[in-house]
Formats: sequence, structure tokens, C-alpha cells
Amino acid sequence: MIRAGLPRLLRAIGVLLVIAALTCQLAFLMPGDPALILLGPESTDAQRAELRHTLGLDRGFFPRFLDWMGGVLIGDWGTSFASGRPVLGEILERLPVTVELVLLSQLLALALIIPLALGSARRVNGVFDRVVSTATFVALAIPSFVVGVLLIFVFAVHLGWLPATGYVPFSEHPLENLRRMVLPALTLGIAEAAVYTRALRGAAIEAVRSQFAYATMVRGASDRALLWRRILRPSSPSLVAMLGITVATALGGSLLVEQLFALPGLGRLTVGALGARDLPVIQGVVFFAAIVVVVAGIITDIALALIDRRSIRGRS
Amino acid sequence: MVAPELTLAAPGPSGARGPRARFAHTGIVLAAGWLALLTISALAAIAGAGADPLANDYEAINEPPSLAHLFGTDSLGRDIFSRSMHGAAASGLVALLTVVLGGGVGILIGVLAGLVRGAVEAFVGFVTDVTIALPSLIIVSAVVTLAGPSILTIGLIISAFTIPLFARLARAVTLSIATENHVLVARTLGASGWRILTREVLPAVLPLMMPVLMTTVAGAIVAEGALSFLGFGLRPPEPSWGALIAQGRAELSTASWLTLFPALMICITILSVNVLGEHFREASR
Repeated sequence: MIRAGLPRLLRAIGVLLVIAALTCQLAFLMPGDPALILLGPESTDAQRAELRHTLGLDRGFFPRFLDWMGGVLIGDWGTSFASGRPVLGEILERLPVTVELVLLSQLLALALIIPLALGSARRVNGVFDRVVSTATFVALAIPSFVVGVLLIFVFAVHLGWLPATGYVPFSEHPLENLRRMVLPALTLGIAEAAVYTRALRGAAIEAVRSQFAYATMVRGASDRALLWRRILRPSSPSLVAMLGITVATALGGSLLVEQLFALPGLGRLTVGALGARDLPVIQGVVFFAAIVVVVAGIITDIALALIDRRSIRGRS
Repeated sequence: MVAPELTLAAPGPSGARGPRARFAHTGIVLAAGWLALLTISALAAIAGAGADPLANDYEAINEPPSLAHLFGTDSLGRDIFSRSMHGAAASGLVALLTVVLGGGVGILIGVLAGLVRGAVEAFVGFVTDVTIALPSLIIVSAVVTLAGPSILTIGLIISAFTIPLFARLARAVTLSIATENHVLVARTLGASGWRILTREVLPAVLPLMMPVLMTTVAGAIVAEGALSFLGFGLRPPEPSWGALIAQGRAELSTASWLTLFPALMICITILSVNVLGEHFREASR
């Protein structure tokens, strides 16, 4: 496993280095002199020179890149223009909100899809299967920001059951926190649930048709044993692989959902930093997100290897 | 009970026979019809037909849908139908760029990587890894905000992100097609590399890429919507579906048409693209 994992790890580090290098060039995307754009035309030459120095724009690419990378490794990710606080501190402070949002959305999605997908696979093309297939097909067509707007309208504005915005830390008031996280988590989870259901249904149908499921059936095992042991288990690799992929999607989705529901998480930090053109924070958030995605990919691979050892050989 | 006949139902879950096939056929016609209608209306809108999407009519503020204003008007008296059609044009451009740039370049790179192998393949694999590790919505927002929002920048950056996706899949498909007999025969008969690429491999790869192309186009339209919804897309007065939904959101309980019509437009469009994608998926089986 180590021999299989080492090239994968080196590749992951290579990917992160390239992304770090790209984030160091972000300032040059701006049309014209970045310092002039960030400080405005009233700024003095001295101010602009100072900003260029703090951003490292007065140096070549390699000194700037190595300097930033060195800082990242010892925990110095730069300082936010907007708040004057360290970037890493800002990120870590917002992280719990986003983690809770993503975890809750995945849990909701999983709780929703396992019965749906297994129910569909039980009788392919049956009434239940067709209803679920149609419903997921339609759900796939609704962008998450539309889902969020509709959920707010129905549950917060029209029915008044749940608050539309605002955040209460879990440590202060657990129940109130969950009440406020339901709609955001649903918004993020529904789109993923649709994707998962279709994937798991396919895998489950394949498992239903397999000889081992047939053999279990012939031996007279109960429906439940058949579904859980012989069908859910062999279908789970595709589910785990999906979970790994959706971490990246969920980070992007958190931008929308946190903005929509005013949750003080990583997505909100990103949107704020983009609006204020807070380069150090943008750079930090992009790199942090890349780390999360890469690590999630590695964890997915390890999980897949633990579930099914054959998958080790299949990957390079 | 899990019926044993499942083991016999080999032709697949599609069951493209009987009333269901007819139902699926109607779906395809409806989807293609909607997309064609939308394209014509959007083209007519940018050619200047209908109301000016930016013109304020203070006589008609927040008017519900009527014959004069099909989708109603907003708080500045702007015609929502016309704004939706101009939004459709923006989405359409993003979709077009995704097909031409993302699909075209991506599939070509992928096929080359699959045929040439070696260093080209390794490079494509690495670039794909990098792109997939990038949280695309964050990067797209960052690039568009820093470089300045224009529909061309937005379309280009969104479609650039789809290149590696196509490249990866096209490479995988090419690897299996390159071992097929017709390619081997062409090679043995001494066909040139170019001929093998254009006559043997590409015609076999392209149909297999159609479902992915559709999924990606749908994704690109949603991405543009999300970008505008967040306020990083086109600058405010310019109409875009995402921005229309974001603007109407505050008045959802008093003037629901502001949000509902653009939201319906984007949902029906994505649904239509997905229906076509599903059709291609069934067809390529």
C-alpha cells in the first residue's frame, strides 16, 4: 500500500506547488498596475511602492513564490488588507461553520439517498424507481442558488418555520444552531443527493444482478440482509468516490449558500475578500481550498483501498 | 422482494420500448424545441427586437405579468421578459464557448494524449489533476473580479476549466478505441497519423463525448448563473439570469415574478440540456 501510495503523494505535493505558484501570480490578472488599482488614483508613489513591496510585486517570481511558500509552511499566510489580521487566523476562525455546513449537508443527502436508491434498485423500472428517477432528474436541473431562494421563500417567509439568515455558534446554543443550519444544509445537500442517488442506484442494480446476490437470494436470506450486505456494501465504493469528489463542489457551493443565508464561514470570507480585492486573503483561501480538495482525494483513495484492495492496483 | 427476473433483464434499465420510448421521444422533441425557441428569442433580443432591457418605464413599476409585459416589470420599470432574453443570450454565449473551446480543445488534447501516449499523456494527466484540485467557483470568481467582468472573460474562464475534463475523458475513450480492429487495420494498411485521427478515431470518440458535452454545458450555464448571483458576473444593469434572481429575491413575497420567471428559465433550460444528454447517453450504449 505504501509503494502504491508514494507516487500518489508526490503527485499531490506537485499539484499543490503548481497551485501555490499560480496563486502568486493572481495580482497580474488585474488590468494595469495592481498597486494603482488597489489604492486608487489618489495614492502617492510612495504608498504604491510600499504596497508593491508587501505583495512582493517588486521582486521576481521565484523570490516571491519561495517567500510566500516559506511563510505558508511556518503558518504565516500573510496579512489581510481589510482587517489587518493574519490570513491563516481568519481562515481557521471561519472554518468550523463551513465544516458543519458541509457535514450536515452530506449527512442529509446520505440519509435521503440510501433508501431512495436501494428502493429503486429493488424493482428496476417499477413505479417507485420511475418516480425517484424522474424526481432526481428534475432536481439535477435546479441550481443550488434557486433551491436556496425557494427554500427561504417557502419555509422562512411563507410558513415562518425556520429563520432565513443568521448564525448561532453550536457551542452557545446547539438546538438554535441546528435550526438555523437546516435550510443551508438542505440547499447544499439536495443537488448532491440527486447526483448520489443516480450513482448509487446504478451500482446497486449491478450488485442486484450479480451472482453473489443471486446465490444469497437462492439460499433464502431475508430481503434486509440481502440489501444491506450483498448490495449496499459492494455499491459503497462508488458512493465513497462520489463523496470525495463532492468536497470540491461543496466548497464552491458554500460560497453561494453562506452568502444566501448569511453564515460567517469560509465562503462568506471568500466573497468578502473578492469584493474588497483583498489579495492576501484570496490567495490564502484558494490555496487552503486546494489543500482540502487534495487531502480529500487522498483520503478517498485510502478509504477505497480499505473497502476494496483491488482498487490499489487500478490507480497510478 | 427482489424478483429473480432482474437477473434476466439484461438490456439495461433504460427499457427503451413501448409507451416509455414514446414518452422519451416527446421529451427530446420538447427539449430541443425549447432550446431552439430560446436561441431564436435571445438572438432576436440582442438584434434589438422587443423592449430595451435597460430602459426604465416609471409608469409601469413592479407590474405583474400582462400582455404588454409578459414576465412583468421590476422596481425600476424594466421589462423582465426582455431582460430574461438578454440573460439567455449571456448564458448562450457561455454555453457556446464551452462547446467550442472546452469541448473542441479538450477532446483534441485528450485524443492526442490517448494516441501519442508518453510525455504528452503524462502532462495532460498532471494538468487535469491541478485543475480538479482547484475549487472552480472560487477561482472563476477571483479571476473575473480581478480581470474585470465582461461576458467574454466569464465565458472564456468557465470554458477553460472544462478543457481538462474533456481531455481526461477523451483520453480514456481513445485508449480503448485505439485497440479496436478498424484502427489496427487502418494502421496496418499504412494510413497516416492524421488520417487515423480524423477518419478512424475522432468519429468514434465524438458520439461518446456527447453526453459529457451536455452535462458540461449545463454546468457552465449554472456556473455563470452562480457567478452573477454572487454579484461577480456582469455589472449590475446588464441582465443575466443569476443576477435577475438575486435582484428579485428581496421582493419575492410582493413581486414573485421578478425571481420566478428567470428561475424557471434557467431550470427549464438545464432540464432540456440534460434531457438531450440522457438521449445521447442511451444512444451511445
